[in-house]
Amino acid sequence: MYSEVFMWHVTPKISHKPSLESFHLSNFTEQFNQLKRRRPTERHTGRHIQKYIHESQQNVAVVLSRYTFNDVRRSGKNLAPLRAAVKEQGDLVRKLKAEAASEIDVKKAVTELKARKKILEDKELALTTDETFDRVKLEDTLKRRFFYDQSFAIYGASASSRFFFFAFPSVSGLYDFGPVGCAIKANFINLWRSHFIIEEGMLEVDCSILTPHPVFKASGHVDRFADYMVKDVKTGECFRADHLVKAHLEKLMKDKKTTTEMKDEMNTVLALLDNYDQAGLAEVLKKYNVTSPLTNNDITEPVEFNLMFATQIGPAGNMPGFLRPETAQGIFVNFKRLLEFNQNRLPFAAAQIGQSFRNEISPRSGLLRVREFTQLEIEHFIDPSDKDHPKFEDVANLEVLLFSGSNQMSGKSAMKTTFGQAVAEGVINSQVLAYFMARTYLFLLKVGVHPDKCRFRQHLDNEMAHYACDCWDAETKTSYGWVEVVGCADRSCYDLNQHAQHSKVPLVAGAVGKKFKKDAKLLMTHFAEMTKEAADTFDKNLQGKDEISLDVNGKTFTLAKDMVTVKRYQKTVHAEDLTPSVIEPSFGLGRIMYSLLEHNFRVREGDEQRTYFTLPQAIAPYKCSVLPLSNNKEFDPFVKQLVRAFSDEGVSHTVDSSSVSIGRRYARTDEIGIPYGITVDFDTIKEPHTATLRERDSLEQIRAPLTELPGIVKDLVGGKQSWSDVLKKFPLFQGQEAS
Amino acid sequence: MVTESSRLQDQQLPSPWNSLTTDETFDRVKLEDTLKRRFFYDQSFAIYGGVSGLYDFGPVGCAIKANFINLWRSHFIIEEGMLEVDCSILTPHPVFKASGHVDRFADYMVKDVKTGECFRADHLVKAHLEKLMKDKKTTAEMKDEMNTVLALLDNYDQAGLAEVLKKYNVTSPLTNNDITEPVEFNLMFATQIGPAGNMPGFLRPETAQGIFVNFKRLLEFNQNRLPFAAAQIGQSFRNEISPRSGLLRVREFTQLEIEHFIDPSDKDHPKFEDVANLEVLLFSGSNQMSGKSAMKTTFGQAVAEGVINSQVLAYFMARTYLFLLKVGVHPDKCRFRQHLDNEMAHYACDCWDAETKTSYGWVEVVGCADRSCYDLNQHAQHSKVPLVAVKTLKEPISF
Repeated sequence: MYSEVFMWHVTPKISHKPSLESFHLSNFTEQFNQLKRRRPTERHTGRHIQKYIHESQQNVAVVLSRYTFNDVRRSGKNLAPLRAAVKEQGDLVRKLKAEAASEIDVKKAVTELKARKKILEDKELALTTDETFDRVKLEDTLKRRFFYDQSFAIYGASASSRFFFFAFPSVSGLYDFGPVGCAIKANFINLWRSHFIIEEGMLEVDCSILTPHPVFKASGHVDRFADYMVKDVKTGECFRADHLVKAHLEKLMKDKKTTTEMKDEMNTVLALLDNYDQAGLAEVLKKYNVTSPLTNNDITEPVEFNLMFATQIGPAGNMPGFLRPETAQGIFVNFKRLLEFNQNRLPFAAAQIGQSFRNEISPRSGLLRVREFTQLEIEHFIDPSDKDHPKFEDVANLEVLLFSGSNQMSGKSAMKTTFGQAVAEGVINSQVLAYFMARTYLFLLKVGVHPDKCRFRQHLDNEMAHYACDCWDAETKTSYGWVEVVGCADRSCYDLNQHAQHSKVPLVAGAVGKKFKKDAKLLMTHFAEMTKEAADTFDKNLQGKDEISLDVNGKTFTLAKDMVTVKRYQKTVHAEDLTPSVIEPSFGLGRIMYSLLEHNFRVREGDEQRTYFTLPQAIAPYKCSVLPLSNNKEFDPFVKQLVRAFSDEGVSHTVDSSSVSIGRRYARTDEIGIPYGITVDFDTIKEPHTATLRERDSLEQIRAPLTELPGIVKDLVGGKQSWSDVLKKFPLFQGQEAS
Repeated sequence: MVTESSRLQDQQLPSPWNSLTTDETFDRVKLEDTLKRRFFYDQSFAIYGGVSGLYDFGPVGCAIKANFINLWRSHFIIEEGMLEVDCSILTPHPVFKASGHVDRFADYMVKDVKTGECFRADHLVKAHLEKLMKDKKTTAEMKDEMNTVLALLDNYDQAGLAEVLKKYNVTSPLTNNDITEPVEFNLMFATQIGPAGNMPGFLRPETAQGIFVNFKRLLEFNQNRLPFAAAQIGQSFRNEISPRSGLLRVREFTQLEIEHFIDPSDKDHPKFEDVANLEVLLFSGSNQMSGKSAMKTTFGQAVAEGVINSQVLAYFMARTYLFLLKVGVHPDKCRFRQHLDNEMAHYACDCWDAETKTSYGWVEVVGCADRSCYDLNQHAQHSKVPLVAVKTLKEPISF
């Protein structure tokens, strides 16, 4: 399980592993940055930060030792002492591990290591923050031009209270995409499909969102995809129990009255926080008298809160189910069919694009932590003894920013290297993993993620799920800090084995169906869900008897001996002698989309009010706008002609014939990232008919024959020619822009 | 929306006027074998025994689906300049309370008292009466009475259905066990949003409501001008009591919906001329009532004769028809059937279903309705946010 402190960079649950999210520190970073924005001239001394942390104690837990704190204050722009501090602690962790020190000592050391790492990262981030980026402005644009917005906004708190005894809380973590967001999303998905599925010959599947209980029982989600939650007994507000403990202990440890022994004890609790079960957490909450952070009211006992949305499938009420929290399981349960589809040969990759659902306790940070999201997942099944990749050479020389585990442990920064070198040096575990990382990287660049704001960070040993042997997250730098947008894991056969075990049918039915008719299904389901252990017991009971009774869901079945036999066999989901490994790149669409919007958001030089997106043409929501200079009726046929031509060419376009000035309308099309604009003006009416074509980023314009323009735009958008090619054919035009 | 959409996939049962001409050469078993073997699609969770009404698309099915959606997007959204939205599937209770789904999106269900198996009450009645009517002992008067019951089947309330079930002594079809009284079963999947347990929600049973609750934003997006169309492509969910007929009645499906908002006083369409001469098989309400069959006509003629209520409705029917042909529906196996008055929701003024002829009979595949402002009014009333457009009058009105 991930430890909390490390997760300040908004680590998502894109990865597979049922794990807990932790956001408190990202919140810290966010607010810290806001604080800086508010007071740009002040130096951020330790005192400010202290004060800030004090403010943030309400809902934020921060693990920062006094030592590291002072260090921030002293170090100024010099990161060396911070790096040394990380390295020192990293070495200690290594030493403890080498000496096989007690688990708790290692955990304590790791906790401190993470705290130091965080200080360093924050400082690094602060030094490289893009001062010109204004998130408020971006968010205003996204909302105003309906890229996306909160769902069900018209059903605000007061409006719908009539349906409930209590006020209906607003729905957080759900977003509706508007026309611009939809177009970007559709382009994104088409690009992804061609970049991965078509180019790599993957097998796409599209599986049910509704999933019956046994599937997620097998995958471990029913038992482990949960957080402990407590409620304020009076207001009913929900909190994550571990967050509260952490915040509370941090506060206590700052108290001068707290003795050193008590602090040590608290440190121990913090180090073990991820390991507590329900009773353990309850004890801790009670011992330290933890109360609701905002109201100081008492809190309830901690309860497990599973993050899957539960429902009932069918009318009978006997088939509990869930909305899938990840698309990957749909691929695993179809493994056998897909293997057959691939003529029983490895390797092959399967991919799925679809909605996943997680009932987050506290969704936040816009598209970064939501309850419903589009996932794009690949499972590449390979022979574990052959982890080379035939196309690796194609990407071996690609340069990328890698933040390896050892660099993280020794306080170094991420390093530029090539994928070839990383594999050669053993930094990345295998060619095949590196190949998918490289393809992922190329995709991110294609959709508009800025290469300087993108890195791969390796999971540390203790972050990794027990079944993964190497795991890298693609991270993008945003105003929220580094955000995990893609997880690339080299996993073992964990999932396949789980499903094989749980879906195994150890018995053969024959007479059963005849005797029990409809109830036979119940019986068979019971057998189907039987674990190996239960089957063994059943077999033992069966020996030497003529018949056996069995209770299933309150019904008693009497089975004759000849009706049932226990056969033991491995129901292999693949060739018997081979357990495939799985390389899993897992993409979160919302997170990538948000990142590319941030990375491409610009303000026109000299005009604060004019914002635009430098979106790649392939991602841009519309490729071209058509703008009649005024609402003069004589322009109409030419506008119609252009629209017809664009429709025929399959080029997405939009017409803005409103009566505002052409400059305002250019600004409006720039604001949603439309790369080209055609203006129909008075010269268009004259023969030969011509119109102007304007490029978004350079603001340059040309004038060309009306009939040629749609083709020119199509070639530009399709990459057949560049803007500079166009400039060679048609002279620059100076005109409407200035007016 | 509620009544008609709950019947969306309800056309596979043979109706008196279809299945007159079956394609003898078609072998459904062979088709299904191919679809399964080459993994076009197959039942979900088959390794866990399968769940009925849920299907997984394999590589071939996915590729077809992706092409289908791209074609649809370019045929409708891009070509007609529609505003696409992509809204949450998870929907809080008040939204479907307002839309009427909480109260009315339900079927009557009965259970086998011994096995607990669930059936749709109307299906049982229908099957039972059809069996009785084939019985030689049944008199002509009894048959007439049964025909009346069948004709009114959609109109019965709970008590009425209970009476019919009792009168004809309907039992569980497989076991002949007794069945329970009919109860209303809401077809929406319910869940809880958030951890507090105070936000009941549903998986949307149709994508349309997402468009309606975004009406204000979309109108603004369109610079506050009518007409405009919004479209949505996404998953919808219906907890069918007895899913069957493969992809025809499922619990989770992809819907592609358009809501074209117009000024009710102007139902012409500027591009109607482009489709006026397109020939199509129309099965009008009056033809259905008078026992005639569907007739070939043009959309232009149908509007001129008042068979189709307005240009704008006819235009969308024509575009729908062209799309169906484009993706491979056979023109001879495609028709538009008009809803009869008693089929239509009270707020709809004209409603046509595109139907395709399959081995299951005529199947409704697209519904084209001219609806009033029902949905917007409902949401406006329940959310207290006015959902209206402002019309610039040519001549100002003075008070």
